[in-house]
Amino acid sequence: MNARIIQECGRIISNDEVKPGYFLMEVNSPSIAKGAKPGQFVTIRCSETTSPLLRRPFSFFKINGSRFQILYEVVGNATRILSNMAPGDKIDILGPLGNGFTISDKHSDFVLIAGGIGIAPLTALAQKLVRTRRKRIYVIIGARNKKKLLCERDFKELGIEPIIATDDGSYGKKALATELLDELFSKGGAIFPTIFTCGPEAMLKRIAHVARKRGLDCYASLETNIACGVGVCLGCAVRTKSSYKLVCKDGPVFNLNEIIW
Amino acid sequence: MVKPDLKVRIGRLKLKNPVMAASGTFGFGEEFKDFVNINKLGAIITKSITLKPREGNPPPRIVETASGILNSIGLQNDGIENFLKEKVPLLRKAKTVIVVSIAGESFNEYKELTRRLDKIDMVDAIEINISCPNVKGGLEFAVEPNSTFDVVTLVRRNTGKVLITKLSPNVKDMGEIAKAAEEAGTDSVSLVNTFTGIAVDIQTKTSKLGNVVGGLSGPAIKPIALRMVWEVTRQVKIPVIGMGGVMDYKDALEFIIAGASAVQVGTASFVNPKATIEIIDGIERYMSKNKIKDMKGLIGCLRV
Repeated sequence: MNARIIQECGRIISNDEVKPGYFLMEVNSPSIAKGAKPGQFVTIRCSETTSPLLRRPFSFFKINGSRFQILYEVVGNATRILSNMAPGDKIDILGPLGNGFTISDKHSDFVLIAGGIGIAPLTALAQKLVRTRRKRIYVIIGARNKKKLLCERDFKELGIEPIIATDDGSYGKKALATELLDELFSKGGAIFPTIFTCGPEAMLKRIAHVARKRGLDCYASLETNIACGVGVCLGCAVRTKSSYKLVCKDGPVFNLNEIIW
Repeated sequence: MVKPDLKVRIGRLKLKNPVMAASGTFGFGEEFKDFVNINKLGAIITKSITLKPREGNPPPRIVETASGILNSIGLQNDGIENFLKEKVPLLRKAKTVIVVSIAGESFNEYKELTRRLDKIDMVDAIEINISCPNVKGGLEFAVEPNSTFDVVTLVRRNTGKVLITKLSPNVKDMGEIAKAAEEAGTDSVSLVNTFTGIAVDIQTKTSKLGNVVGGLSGPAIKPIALRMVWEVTRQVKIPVIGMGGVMDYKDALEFIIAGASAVQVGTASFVNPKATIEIIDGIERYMSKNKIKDMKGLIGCLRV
């Protein structure tokens, strides 16, 4: 059961640039944080003006008591405005939205694989997995380069040594995250794991292929334009094997095998 | 001063206030009940239903443009059968006026939809959506006065319920269409539906919408919508329901002063789910402050 959706005026605790162009914001928002689950998201009204107009969606990055954090990349006007907000500022938040990651007891090992800012919901998931399970957790982080690599320390603090891939080889291995996934399997690490992923579409497609080939369950948090966030506008549709599904209400986490690209 | 009276009439229909949640932006009410007191609304207009289920248009379906949204949802809905079974019981719980929006691809579909809904007592009114720009043939009944007249006549013949005809701005002369709908027996016209538009991705050189063309809503269209509402109210005697970029109570008042008997709020509910309620409260405050005792003192009071 998901918690009730609440529109709450949250108070910003901190909002820091953790890597060039990437910000970590902590918000005090007791009613929303209380019901939040990894994989769920909030929408934030970044501006009182009409441009940007729509609220913007952000996955929970960390959930701690009455507070939660979001990790975001400055990509346009809305996120630029957000990045200029200061501790103490109030923001209009709607959440928790969507369905989180489902972790069943039959899951054995876990592989979390992220590309770029896709690391955000997987950090919340890892936080939960570490708190509640003793299964092995493998984390693969892909980034364009060392400067854009996110969250290495967050995972280390959780006791996980992340496997790192950069496109240009400036840190970790010069490879695609999916290549390191293949390598992990061929080395015999991760026995029949469940894969959780979030990242660019091209990466998700490759992971879907690997998972299908090996007969593994794979769940992805999908990103798309979102208008209402609560399943009424039907704007965030993705094609699945059964029908169109809504990222905001049926997702954002989907079984990757169900998605038709 | 006594509390101002916000009640308005649309035909026989009595609304407790002039603020209606627009079709396609408020689901079936249920979706908002956690964070909006839906019983406070003047009316809820449900997402358009069709005779058979429709899967909708290929994504992307939504793109934000300057102070507006382009959408090409394509009337995705589960059809009348599912509506009667799943949605009607939920709608019964709402203590407000329920308007059901219908969209047909043919005369026969409009007739069938109307007949089915006519039997449902909790349906207070029907909004005939002849103006969806996002489906093939969606606009057919909205662009020619003759076909508007025919479809409204047909619906009128098959129900005694209050009828609202939702008009498209993508026509040569909205006044002519509105007059045709009035003559055919609609109790009210609502306008405007979205303006057709395109947004281009300059990297991929493709449309930002899967369906290429979409419908524009939001603050970007407000001045045009307002002009159209003003013009139509001068050409028909039936009440006009105004919409197009109503984001706050001031926008709503602009429409009402220009002649609208009520307003519909759509895009604003995405930006602020409580927009409808804040608009109702804002109108009430404005009336108190300006010593306007009822809506009659406000509707169409534009000085020209």
